[in-house]
Amino acid sequence: MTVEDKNIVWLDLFPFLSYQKKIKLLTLFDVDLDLKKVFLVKPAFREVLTQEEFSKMSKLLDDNYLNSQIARFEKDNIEMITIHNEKYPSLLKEIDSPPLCLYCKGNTQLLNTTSIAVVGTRKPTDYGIVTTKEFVKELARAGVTIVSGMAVGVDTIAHKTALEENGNTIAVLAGGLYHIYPSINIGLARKIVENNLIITETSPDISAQTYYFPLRNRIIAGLTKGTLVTEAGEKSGSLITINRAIDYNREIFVVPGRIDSPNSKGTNNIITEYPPTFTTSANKILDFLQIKKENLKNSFVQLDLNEQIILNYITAEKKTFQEILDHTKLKPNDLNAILLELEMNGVITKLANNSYIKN
Amino acid sequence: MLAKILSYGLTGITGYPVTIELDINAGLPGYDVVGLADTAIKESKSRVKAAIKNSTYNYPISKVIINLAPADTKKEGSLYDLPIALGILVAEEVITNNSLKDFVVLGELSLNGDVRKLNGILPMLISAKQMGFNKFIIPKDNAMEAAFIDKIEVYPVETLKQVVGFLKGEIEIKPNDNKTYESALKDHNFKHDFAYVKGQASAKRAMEIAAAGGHNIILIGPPGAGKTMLAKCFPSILPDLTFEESLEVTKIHSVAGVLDPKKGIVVERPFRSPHHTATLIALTGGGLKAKPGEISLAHNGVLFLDELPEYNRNTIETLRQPMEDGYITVARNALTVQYPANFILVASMNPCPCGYYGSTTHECKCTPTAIHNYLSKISGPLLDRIDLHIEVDSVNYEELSNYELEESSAEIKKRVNKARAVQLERFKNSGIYSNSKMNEKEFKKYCALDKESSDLIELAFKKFNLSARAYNRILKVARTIADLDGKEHIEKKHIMEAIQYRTLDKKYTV
Repeated sequence: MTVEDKNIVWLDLFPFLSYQKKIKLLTLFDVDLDLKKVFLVKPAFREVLTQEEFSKMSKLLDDNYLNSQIARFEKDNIEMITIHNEKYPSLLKEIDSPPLCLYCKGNTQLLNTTSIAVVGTRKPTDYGIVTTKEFVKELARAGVTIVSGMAVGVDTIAHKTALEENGNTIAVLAGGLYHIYPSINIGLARKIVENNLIITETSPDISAQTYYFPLRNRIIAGLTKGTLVTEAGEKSGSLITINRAIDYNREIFVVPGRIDSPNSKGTNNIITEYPPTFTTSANKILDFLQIKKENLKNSFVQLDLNEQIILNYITAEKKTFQEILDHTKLKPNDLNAILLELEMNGVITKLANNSYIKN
Repeated sequence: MLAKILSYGLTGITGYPVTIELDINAGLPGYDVVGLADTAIKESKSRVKAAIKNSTYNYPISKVIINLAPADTKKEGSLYDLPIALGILVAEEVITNNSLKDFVVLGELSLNGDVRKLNGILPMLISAKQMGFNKFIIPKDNAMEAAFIDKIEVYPVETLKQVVGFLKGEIEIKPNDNKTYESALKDHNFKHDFAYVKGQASAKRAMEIAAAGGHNIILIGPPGAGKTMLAKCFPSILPDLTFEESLEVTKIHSVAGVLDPKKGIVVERPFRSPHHTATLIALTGGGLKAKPGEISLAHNGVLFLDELPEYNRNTIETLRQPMEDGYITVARNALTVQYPANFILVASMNPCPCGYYGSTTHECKCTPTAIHNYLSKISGPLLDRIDLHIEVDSVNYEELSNYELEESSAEIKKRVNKARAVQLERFKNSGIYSNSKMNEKEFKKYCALDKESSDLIELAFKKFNLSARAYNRILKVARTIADLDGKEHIEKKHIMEAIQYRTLDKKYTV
């Protein structure tokens, strides 16, 4: 690690330093000057920092302390990729306030792959679940890296679907890597780091504050060539990601929803404002990325008569178990077995309340 | 003059003989009870005195000393009123002690000399019969309860005067008629029947499996979906109580005082549904006298916990051990009692705090965190003991307005009985009665899978992120499904159906 890298990691240890302050401090002197060494001598620091900040920072000037922190992070397989590192994603460098250091866990080669952000509401409807799955499936199969925020709802579905398809995915967190949030997704995080990647600009020991999330969204938008919103309400946080994507001149893809659905108000509003964002299939995104849809191994499943009847009955509209039963006149035990088979083959999805929907 | 009369006492549901020794001495009039008697026994003084006087006999104006032997065991209740009164009359030489030889006497007295009903007659009589006693004088109101024990002479009595007349040989009392269990079984029918439950085919099927294999089941659904109704119908498809089972249940109900005096014996599998404000003691049993709790009252039957997440978490966690062992040990400072508690747990819950998550008719307003918190009120270990999870949705209008009767409980019960017979044969001499109670050994032996099935289950585990604990549950349920199907080996489709009943393991994780 170079001196300038260490400077950044050291500054990141202090949660009270804003991004702007860090930039100011880093540009005070030549890049290869160890800030800690001159901290007490040079008066310039006192001009930038408040008295309190200054005294807090002056307590942690020991080089051994920083080195022990870095050693601890590295022992936990956290890779620190600063903006000066060649691994740093080139797209992210282009934005107006690129993170100074990315704390990464997992496969860092994904940072420079072709990627699309998939974001949306934390409380998707059945429609949101199905469309998110459908889009992510096609994108992941085509080799596009799926970037999202690992929040509950659409984010989680995006990550999970990408993993299911053996695709690539990057989760961008708001807090530090020792404070995975939301805790409900700790299991998912563990799975992602196996072959995929989790990144954050927050130092590992710092937990997320509310205002970190909009900042996180700028990374999601900045890291990717385009952002896809599958379902978002009027005040959804994913609209922040969209605004950042617009700021950074990235492509936006928005899936329309029903006009009477509160969960689609946000997405429908964007489409009204920017009609070109209107997206109804993953092909549009793949075309934009200039990825030819490979002739995927056709996962065609051989269906018998009963399965055929059930599939014809379950359409995009979800059907409850009882409805399917009444329609097919099968016995409940046989129907249960058939539905599980279809679900395992990925033809249908089971939703809450014992109802099913076609994929 | 000394009198000696036999009576009986209870700890938990086992009885022990109590000898009442009574002596009348010269001295200031008084009434002393020794032998660790509780307040109810000490208060017998007033009842006995009034009852004797009102039955036109003389109460001695001297010192009465009563000893309840064995003297080191605590005794409680009002059941010694009648034997004490008879003891006084022996001492007063109204009747002879000899006429009371061989009789075990039990009964509470009212002030006018009537003999009143007691709790716990059946367990006392059963235990007394085993000890070799065979002549009993008991309150007439308890006669039905005693009627199901054969080879004993039971004399039901109504008043103190009647007892005295009987012992003097002036009145004849006919011994209680014996009744057979079959006759009691014949004249009962269930209040709730699946014939009147519209739709809900999936839930009914799951309940059939639960009944056949003795599996615990949880019903998840929005308010008004019919969860409670389904649960209430559940006893109607359970196999009939055998006589031995019935005696076990009746004993507990008799001790708890919830037995119907007109029936005298429990012929229906108990269905207990304690409210969610029930305390831990109410559920497990206890209190000063270590009375049986709801889980023991549900022995050999159904414990229904409506709105499971509403229960105090500590309270439901205590169910874990009895669910595993089939009994509960209630320890109080004076005594430690073991009550059987072998029940099928039927629980119900809403899918989220507002109740409408996933509903087809209402919109759910809950945040994912709220839903997660609601579901995590039920601990993993408890969920681990519930084999079947089934979602119930409200019934639509077409089904409600359909007047055709659905399949009746009797029809379903036939299939359940058949599957139970297969299990009884399989687990003969192993002390296990149903698939749900299989141990590791039996599990290995009877839940063996062929290649196709084990591949399938492996695939399902990966696909649905099933927990390790789900594995045993799925196979046990699959075993029951195979038994219902009349198959010796578990087949692929049985496993597939069983996996469908692990809703809470595989879904609700988005």
